[in-house]
Formats: sequence, structure tokens, C-alpha cells
Amino acid sequence: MPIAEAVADEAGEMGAVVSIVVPPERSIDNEEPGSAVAAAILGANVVFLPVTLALAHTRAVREAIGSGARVLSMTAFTERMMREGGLFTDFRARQPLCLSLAAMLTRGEQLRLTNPSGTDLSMSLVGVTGNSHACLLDGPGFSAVPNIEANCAPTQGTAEGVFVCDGSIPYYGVGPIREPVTFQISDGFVTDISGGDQADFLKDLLARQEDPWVYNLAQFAFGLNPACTEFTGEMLNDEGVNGTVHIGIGTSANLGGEVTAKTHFDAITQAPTVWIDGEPVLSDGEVLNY
Amino acid sequence: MAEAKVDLLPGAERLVHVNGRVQPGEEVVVVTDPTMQRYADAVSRVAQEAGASVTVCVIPIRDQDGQEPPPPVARAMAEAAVIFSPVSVSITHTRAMRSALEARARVCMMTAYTDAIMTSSALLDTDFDAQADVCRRLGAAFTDGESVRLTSPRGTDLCFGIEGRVANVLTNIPEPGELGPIPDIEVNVVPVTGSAEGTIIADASVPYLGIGILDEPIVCVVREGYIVEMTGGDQADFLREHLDSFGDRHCFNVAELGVGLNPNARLTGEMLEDEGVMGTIHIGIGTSHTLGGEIVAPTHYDLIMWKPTITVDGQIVQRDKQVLV
Repeated sequence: MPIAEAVADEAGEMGAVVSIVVPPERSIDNEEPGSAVAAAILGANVVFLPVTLALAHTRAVREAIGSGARVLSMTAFTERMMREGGLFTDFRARQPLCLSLAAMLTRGEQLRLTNPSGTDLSMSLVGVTGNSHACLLDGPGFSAVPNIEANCAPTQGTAEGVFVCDGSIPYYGVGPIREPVTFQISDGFVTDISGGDQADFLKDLLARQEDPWVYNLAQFAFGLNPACTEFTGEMLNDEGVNGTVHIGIGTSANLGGEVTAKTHFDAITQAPTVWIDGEPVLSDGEVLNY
Repeated sequence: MAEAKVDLLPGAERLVHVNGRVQPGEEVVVVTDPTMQRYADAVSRVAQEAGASVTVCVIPIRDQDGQEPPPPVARAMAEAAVIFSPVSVSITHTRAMRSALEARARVCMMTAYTDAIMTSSALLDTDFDAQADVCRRLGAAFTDGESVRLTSPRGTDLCFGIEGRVANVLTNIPEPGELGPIPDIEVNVVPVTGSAEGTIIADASVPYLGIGILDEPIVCVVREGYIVEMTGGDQADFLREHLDSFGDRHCFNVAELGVGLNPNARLTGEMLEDEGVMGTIHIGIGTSHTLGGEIVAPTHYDLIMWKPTITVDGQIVQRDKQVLV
């Protein structure tokens, strides 16, 4: 609890009324936290979430945001992340880029993604609203520090192709990728996962959830924090590594989608090239124009 | 010298399994503050092992008894099937607690807990089920009764009306919507305001203000519901001067007859244990509002005495340690 206590002390010193709520033990990321925690965060103006297992993609958090809370996710935060790295970037300076990429996801109709490891994935953006998560909560909403990302939930059931993850899967203890993990994706669902030990582990874990929605292609996101420079296995560092993209799999409801699954995880890949409606947006991880 | 490590587990097991009767899948909320977290940890670990969904809420230390917990914690409490409250300052008399009780929580109060209470025979060895029955029988006698006479070998002889009053039955196995201060098994009733007449001679303890166990009895003369004279030794003088300092006669209101019903509780000078000692009663003075009466005063203290005989409508309901209803 030292991270929760550090944040609570600082907020308390500012004159806020601070309660620390320790949720019941859960077994997997983005499992609901129980009705007492859901009720507590519904009563808050600001919610910090330094938890081991993510709460970001839960109904509890969605409802708190709906009732006006500013929610800052700090899943699996480490003492290193409190001292150095992504948290010490100039968030305000990155906000225009983040907003701009989110607007492109909103305006676009079709997205294609490739990378040198063999990724070639397409998805529809029809009816999609992009989200800018620049770690700055100027009003009710959600962001995960220090992960600056622009994301969206692609049109349900439209993703098609191959996603080869060569960066990190900072969930379930998987971490930085040793042997690329290949996701076959058809009609918006993961149909196969292959690669080495990490792929096998993930495949077994998802099968054990006995929930077909855990295979839903839920999210596409750009990582945009220039102070997140390498994969460490720390979730919110890895997702924010500048010049990477990730897909999220499972629950999409907190990003504007319709799916609620038993879990949600992200898989990050490097040096992506991204086209929206045929226009290149990112080339080998470099932002081309915005 | 380092403090000896105290094993809190047996006490936590009693609280969770016997007092709280925590069931698998139940929503359990533990409300605590930074000074009491070790008791919260012990209780939450045991409740978790019992299969409950346990949420621990750490609140800032309250400035005074009865101050509301923050709104997020109040909402969490309203979702609970069982609440444990190891806090240093009482949250018993708050809207948050009332809402939780209206939502049918079973509440185990652990205000101002200490290692001594956590390891006491009063918590570890008491047959709480048996005492819950005794508690309800005596409560029914008060609720149905009209007048009380209280006497003791030391010379207490106090009469008062209880018509229309509903006894507060604090079994330590709370039903949904009830709270129990563990291990203080107690029944209390508020005298009809202004009705008490006679003499109170407290010879056991006043577990407040650092007074504790009494060296010399405190003798109080009561007229029309209020203490009009308080004499004895230094402790009596100290208490009287403290009460006088508020300049509010309601501090001297006879607010409560409380009957201790925990056979393993011992007189220690600590509130939660002393008030539950079987074979003692306490006369609460000051505020009666929180117990169902009309008087609001800046204070509420208890004067504890040994070997009471309690008569309701002419029938003896308790003599020393024996409940006779």
C-alpha cells in the first residue's frame, strides 16, 4: 500500500477528504470489484486506482465516470514508476497530438495496420468515437498514468487479419515478449494464438475463462509517451511506449464498445505502420502528420 | 523494549465466525483508520478465508465521536452484509451507520480496540449465543415494564419510570439491522426523563477521562431525573468539576440504565470491556438522545457499580449475576 498511501498523503495535504478503499481479492484483471467498492467510487470526485489487477475496464469504473468522477488508473504501479520515467513527461505538451489522433479515429472509416514482424490487420471505424487519454483530467473521465494513448473500440465484428505482438503483454505476468505471439483474427474475434511459451500460457488462460467474449477485438491504440522508452513489463509504461500501437482484447464497453467480458488485456507491437482511409498516419512508428 | 508480538488471529476468528457469522460470498466492509489497521488486517484476512468479498475502507481519523465518514465510505457501508469497525473514534452515531443498518447490515463495533481486548477472555471464551438469549429476555422485561427500582449492597436505591421506552438489546451476535459492541454484551434502557429519584453509589469504575477503577465510591443524590449532589473521594471531585465546567445541567441527567451481560468480561478501566461485565450495571449520565431519549448534552459518561438488584414492576429481574426472567 505504500503507493496508495503516498497519493493519499499528498491529496490529504491539499485539503481533500481522502478514503483508502482496499478491494476484495480478485483473480484476473478487470474483474468487477464487488458492490461495496463500486458504491464507494460512485461517491467520489476523484478516484486513484493503484491496484495489482486492473479495474479500468469494469462496470464499476464506467458508472463512476458516468456520475462525474475523474478516474486515474495506476494499475500495477511500481516504485520505479513513482520515481522516474513516463510520469515525469510534459503531459500538456502531448495533449494536442493525442487529441488529433483520436479525432482521426473518429473521422476515419477504415484502418489498416502492419509491422515488420508480420502484422497485417484491418478494421472498420464506421460509427467509432476515438478517445484521447492524455493523463490530464480536466473534467469527468478516465486516463491511465503515465500511458498517453489515443484509442478506440473498432466497429464490432469487423477486425480481420493477423496481429503479431513483438513488444509486450503487460498482463497476467506475461511481460516483454521473448518469441512473437501471433493472433489470428477473424470477424472481430481472436481465433488462434500461437508462438512460444508466452503464447501457450495466454491461450490456456483465456480458455479457462469459459467466456467467448474474452476473444473480442476490443481496442486499437497509439502509445504516445516520449518518456516511456522501453518495455519493462510494467503495464502502464509498456502501453505508453512512444511509437508503438496495441490492441486490446476482451471488454470494450469502457472505450465506447458494446462488449463486457470477464477480462481485458493489451498486446503491444513495435514499429507499426498505420493507414486510415488509405492515408498513412504512422510509418515504422513515426507520426507522419496530424 | 520492543512490544511483544500479540497473536490477533484467535480474536479475529471469533469476531468473524461467532459475532459476525460471516458466510461465503457475503459482502463484508471493514471500516478502519490508520491507527487501527492491524485489527482491520486480522479481521479481513479471516473473513476472506471464510469466502467473503472483503473491502477495507481506511478513513481519516475523525475529530470527534459521531462525525460522518466520507461519502464514498458511507456508500460502501450501505452495500455491506456485515460491517466491522476498528476505528479510534466512534462512528456508531452517524447517518452512514443508520443507513447501513436500514440496509440490514450486521454491525460488529470495534471502537478503540486494543491488543488487550483482542486477546481478552471476554472475546475468546464467551458463549455469545447463550448470552444473546439472556440479553433478549432482559430487554423484553424492560420494554414491557413501567417502573424500575435499582438497589445494591453499597446502598444504591434508585427508582425511575420506563413506560414507553424500548430497551436497546446489544447482543454480540447482531441480526440484520442490529449493531453489537463486541465484547460488551449489554441491555440498556433510558429512564423516563425527569423521573429518577434516589441515590446512586458507584463502586466499580468510570471508564472515561482517565478515571478508571474507583478507589472510593462516588455517591450521587438524584432528584427529578438529575444528579443534584456528587460526593466521594478525589475521583468524585474530579468528575463533578469536569461536569460543572460545561455549565449545562443536562450533563447531570440520568440517561441510562445499562446491564453488563458478559460473564468473562473483567473490570479493566477500558470502556468496551467494563460496560459488559456481568454482575455490574452502569448508570449513564448526560446525553440520552443516542439511546432513544430526549436529552442532548455535551457529554455522556457511565458510572459502573457492582452487585445490582433490579426490580421491574415489583418483580426481581436480576440479582447480581443472575438474570431471573
